[in-house]
Amino acid sequence: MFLGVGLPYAGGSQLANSWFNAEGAGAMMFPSAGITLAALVLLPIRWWPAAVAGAGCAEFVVDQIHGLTLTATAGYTLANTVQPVLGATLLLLAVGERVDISRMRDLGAYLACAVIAAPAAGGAIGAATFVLVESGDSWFRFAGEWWIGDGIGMLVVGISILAAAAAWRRREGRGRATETVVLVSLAVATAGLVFWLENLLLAFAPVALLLVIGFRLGMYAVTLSGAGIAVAAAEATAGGHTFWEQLDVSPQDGLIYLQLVLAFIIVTPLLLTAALRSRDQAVRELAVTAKRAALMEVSAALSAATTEAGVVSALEQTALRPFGAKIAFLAVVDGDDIHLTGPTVGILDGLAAWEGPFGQAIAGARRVEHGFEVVVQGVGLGSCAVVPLPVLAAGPRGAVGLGFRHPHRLTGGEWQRLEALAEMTAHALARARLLKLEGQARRNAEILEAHAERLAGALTINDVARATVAEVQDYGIHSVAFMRCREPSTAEILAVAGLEHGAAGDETIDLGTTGVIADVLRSGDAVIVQARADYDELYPERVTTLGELGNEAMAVIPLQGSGGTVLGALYAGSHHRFWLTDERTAVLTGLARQAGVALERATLFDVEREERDRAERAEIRASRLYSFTEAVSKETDPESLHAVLASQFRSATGAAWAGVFRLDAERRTLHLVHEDGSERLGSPPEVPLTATTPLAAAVRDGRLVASDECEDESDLRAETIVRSRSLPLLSQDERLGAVHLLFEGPPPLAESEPEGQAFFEALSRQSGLALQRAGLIEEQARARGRAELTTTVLSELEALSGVERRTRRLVELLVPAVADYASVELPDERPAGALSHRDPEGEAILRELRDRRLELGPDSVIARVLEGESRLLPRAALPEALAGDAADEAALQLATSLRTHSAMVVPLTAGDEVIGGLLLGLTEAERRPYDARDLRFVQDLAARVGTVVENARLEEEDSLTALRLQQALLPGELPVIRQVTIAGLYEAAQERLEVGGDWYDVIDVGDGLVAIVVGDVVGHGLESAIAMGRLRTALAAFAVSEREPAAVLDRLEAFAEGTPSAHFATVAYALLDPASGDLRYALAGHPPPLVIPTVGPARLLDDGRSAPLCALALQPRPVAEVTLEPGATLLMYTDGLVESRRIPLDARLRELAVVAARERSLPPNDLCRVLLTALTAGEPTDDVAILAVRLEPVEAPALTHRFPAESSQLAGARSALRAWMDELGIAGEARQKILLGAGEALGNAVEHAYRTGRPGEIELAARRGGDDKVEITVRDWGSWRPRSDPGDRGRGFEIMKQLFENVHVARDGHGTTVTLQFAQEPIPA
Amino acid sequence: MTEPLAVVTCERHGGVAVVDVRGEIDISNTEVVKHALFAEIADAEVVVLDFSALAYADSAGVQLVMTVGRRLRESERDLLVVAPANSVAATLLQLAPIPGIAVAETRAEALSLAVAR
Repeated sequence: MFLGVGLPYAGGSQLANSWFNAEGAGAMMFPSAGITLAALVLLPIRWWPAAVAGAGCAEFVVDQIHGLTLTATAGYTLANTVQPVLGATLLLLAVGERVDISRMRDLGAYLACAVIAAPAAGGAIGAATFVLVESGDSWFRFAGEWWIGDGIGMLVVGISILAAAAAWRRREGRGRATETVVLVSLAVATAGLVFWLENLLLAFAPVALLLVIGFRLGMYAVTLSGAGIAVAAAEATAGGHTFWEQLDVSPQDGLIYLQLVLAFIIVTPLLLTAALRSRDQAVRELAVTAKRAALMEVSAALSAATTEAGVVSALEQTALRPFGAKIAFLAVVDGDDIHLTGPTVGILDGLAAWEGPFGQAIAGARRVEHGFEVVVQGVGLGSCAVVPLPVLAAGPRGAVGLGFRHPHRLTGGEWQRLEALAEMTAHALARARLLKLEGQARRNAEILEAHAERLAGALTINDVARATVAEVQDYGIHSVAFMRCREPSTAEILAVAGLEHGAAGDETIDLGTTGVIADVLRSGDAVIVQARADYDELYPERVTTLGELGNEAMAVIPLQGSGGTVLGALYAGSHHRFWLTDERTAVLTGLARQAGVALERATLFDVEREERDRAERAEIRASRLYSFTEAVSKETDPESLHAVLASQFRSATGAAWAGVFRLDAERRTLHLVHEDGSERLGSPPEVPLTATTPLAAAVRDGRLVASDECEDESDLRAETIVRSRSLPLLSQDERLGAVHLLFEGPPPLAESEPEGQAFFEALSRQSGLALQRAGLIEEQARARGRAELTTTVLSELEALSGVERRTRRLVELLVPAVADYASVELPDERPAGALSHRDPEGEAILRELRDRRLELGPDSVIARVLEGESRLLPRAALPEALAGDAADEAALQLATSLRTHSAMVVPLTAGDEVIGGLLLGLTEAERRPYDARDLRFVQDLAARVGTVVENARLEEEDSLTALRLQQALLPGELPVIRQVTIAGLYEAAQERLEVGGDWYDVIDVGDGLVAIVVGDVVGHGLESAIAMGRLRTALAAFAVSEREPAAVLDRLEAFAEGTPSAHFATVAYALLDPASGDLRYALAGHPPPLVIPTVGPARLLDDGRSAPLCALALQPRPVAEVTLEPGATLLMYTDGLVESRRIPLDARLRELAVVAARERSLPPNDLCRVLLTALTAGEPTDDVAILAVRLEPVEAPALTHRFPAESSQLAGARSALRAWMDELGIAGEARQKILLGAGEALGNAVEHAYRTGRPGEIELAARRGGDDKVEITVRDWGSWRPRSDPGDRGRGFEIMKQLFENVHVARDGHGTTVTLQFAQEPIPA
Repeated sequence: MTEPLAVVTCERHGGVAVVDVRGEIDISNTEVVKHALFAEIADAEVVVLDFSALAYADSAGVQLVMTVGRRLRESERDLLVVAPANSVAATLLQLAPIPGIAVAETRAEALSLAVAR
């Protein structure tokens, strides 16, 4: 710097010296002064000493060279150093900052300080030195010359340097060098020409030129030109070209004038230029201020913007004007994309690409100018300028751009301002982001708080799930699913929203092992997927469909309990890619964390509540089971028990309907025995065990069968969905039946849990026990009843005599005690046997059926039972079994019409012998069908009854044999003896049906005499009867050989000696001569005969009495005689007729005589019967024989024919009638008709007269009256119980009525008499 | 045992069974006669009951004929009865007509009727 200042100083000083000697007027200017000052002004102060030293040394050296004294040199050096220092200091003090010479103020200060003040000071010191040291004469002159010369140097050189420096600094004139050189050269040349021509007037021409230069090029060119002009002037002056000669002044003054003109030439344009410059500067500064204000407005607007949108809006509203732009763009990087905001984004898509201007600006962090080749239609964009946003911590990467209507290149200032705008925008964006984050953080906190509140109110897991799903959905998630996972491979969807997955609740999904949820559950880490493509990549073989629900982004977040246990997962899906930002994920995770803990709590709560409910249910079950057991165990009657079971089952289980079914004896079908509950519900009354219904299955499998959909529509009378529960009723292992329960909703008491099952089983077991108990009690009762029945049957039967009575009583006792109908069949006694039915109509059917069966022969079930087979008849084939195998259709119909639903056949046995069969049937629906126990009972009863019946049969057989024997021994047909009517009667002792030894006989002994005998062998039974027979036969023989009654008796006694059972027999023997009526008689110990005359009292023949046979009597037997008048009746009898324990014999004999006299008009046979009835009340205690013989006048022969009421006797009766008609000469058609009519009457009597009680006798009588009318009389002594079917009898009766003129039926207390009167003339057809 | 009251004999003319019933019929022997009859006519297509030699019959006989007739009708077979004029059977059938049973006076007439069917 020392040299930098010193050398130019030296150059300038030498230049000035060269000019001094010319013309002797001194140097016109001193350039070194301007150099030093300019150096000091431009240099920092610290460089000043060096610069000043440089200048000082140069001055010193120059002065020394010019031979000045040291003192003068020192003085001039001082002056030339003080002068610049003073000038620079003043100038700097005046301006106070960097000096800009082009400014008017700075120029003024420079002129005052550097051009005027500083040279004055320097001049003063220099002049002082000149005067004092060199002894100069004129201080003032020297000072003045110094002042002007240095002042011009300051003005020309110093200012030039400063102006050049400023212009350099401001880059003024760059690119305008040619213009500068041309104009400056022109100005210097002009000035040179002026000075050369020495025309002072032309001296103003350079001024005009300088003014032009000042306008066009500025201060530096003016100063440069000024310097050039000054140098030219100095050169010209030095060359002698002066113009002061023209003015006539001294050269010194002329120089001064020149200097002044020069100063004027330079200063005037300087000032004008400075003024111009200052005005330009002012205008420029005004513009800058306006732009700054516009930027301030932008800044304020951006500061006010709190959101990204606000920033964009602020840019659009304020940033366009300062730049004259049309559109403002803001580009922000979001992930991999550039988001461009602005009104034309849609049209200018290419702008947002990374290759576009924004992308380049952001990626390259540089300014980008972009011209549009085609002006974009509708927008009118010609170009745009983009600068990147400075990268701030909180702010986004991005860029700000401006669009211009026409292609526009930005100036440096515009770029700077655009960058400033970018910076402000970046800050505003960063602030907006922070604000947004803050707001979001606050909102997130609120969401979590709200969720916490909702969860606090959620008690159950479902509440928790719903609350969480709602919260997540509110948060903006499209699809939510709340899944609980109690095992790793399945998830239970508890709540769901926005998924087409169906209703939440019961659904359980199989997760598999590779799905996203399975992963989350296993790892406990959330899986966040931002785009569907990522999901597809992550889970190419996913098993769930959760990712395919229109969601682009999804999160699966584990639900963890307090201990970190994974309890489930929360699925959240959004339709937007990248929606799940970190922040949102954090919120969702927070929600999931809260939900996890709440889920854990609710699970515990649920478990607790479930436990409590379970305990309550257990308590209810226990109490219901207790009530059930109590109610059921009280009941012992099975029927009532069924009712109690039905109602108790309903109340215990809450069923709407309960039905109790019992299994039938064949274990094939369940029958509904009782139902209880809603009438809209029900069940078929019979269910085969093989059916597929739950009920049948329950019994088959012996377990509870539940059905929640009644498939069998017959189960349903209601339209509601009915659920059924079927329980078997078991007694130990025996299946008794079932209970069918119908529910109209889910059964209460949760039978799905084991305790519920156990409850039903307990009910079932208790019911089984109760049924078993009731069954046993019923069984006992039945056994007792049966025992009583057996006793009753046996005792009643034993009190009766005869098979028929006993069998009849048997069936009467069995119906209805054990059967609705009963039938006894005795093969030996056909058609005997007995049947009974609870109603008469059924009995008729039963009888008809039996008759048909009998018609059909031995192919019926009854026939088989006679072989000893006892069995329950199969229900399916009951009619066939009852009708017999070979039954015809009609029989089958009859059997069907019985409506039997259960039947059995059991043999009646006596010992090992089957004596008959017993058929029992049930027709009443409510009666329990027979089972094996019933069969055993009846078998037992039948065995015992069989014995009783067999006994009766044997007794009956015995007495019947005796009776038959006796009747065989008695005269079957008494001889027909003219003029005598004879009637005989034998009656066995009623009480025991025992025959005794009584007999009677009438013997035609020849010679017109008739022997009449009545005898009585002691004792009863077969032996007595045999003895009697022997006596009778013997006596009949003796009566013919002996005429004397006593002799006959003696011979009989002799005969009886050899027959011990004939000893003590009594005999009345009489010999009658019907023609005379003479009677001779002898009585061997016998009651006296009675004679009943037609008029007057009856008299006993009590003479001729002797001892009984073989009674060791010694006297001869007397014989008495008596004569019977015509019409009188001789009555002989055995003591059975008059014997009495209470009444003396005499009284009895008188009674006999009175009754006999009263009834004397009766025919002899009637008389016998009437007397028997009157004296023994029809039931003699001993057997009785009566013989009545009436002496009658001889008339037309009449027929009287008596015979036992047996069908086999009918033919004999008809023979008698034929013989009678032969005798009377009745023949031809009349004979045939009489025979037929009488045959019908006889047949009727045989068939019907003795239907009850013992078979009796029938008497056929026929006689012809005086008017030739034939009268037939059929007489019986029976009770005539008619057959139920009157058909046959009716037919017989019809025949009789057609044949006979008069048919008369008379019934009295003893029997029935049918009288038929026949006119002999042929009856007209 | 005495002689049977009624004697039943049978001749076969192809599917025609001619049953000769002689003797007497009353309630004592209807069962016996019926079983005998059924035994004879079991496989006959037409049955002719010849009562020409019947000495006696009453309503039991009518019942018997009705039973036989019913049995035959059920198996769709025919019954013809031979009852000469003024015979016992004729008298009886006159008094108690049996509906649906054809009566012929002679056996020949009955046979021709039977063949005609």
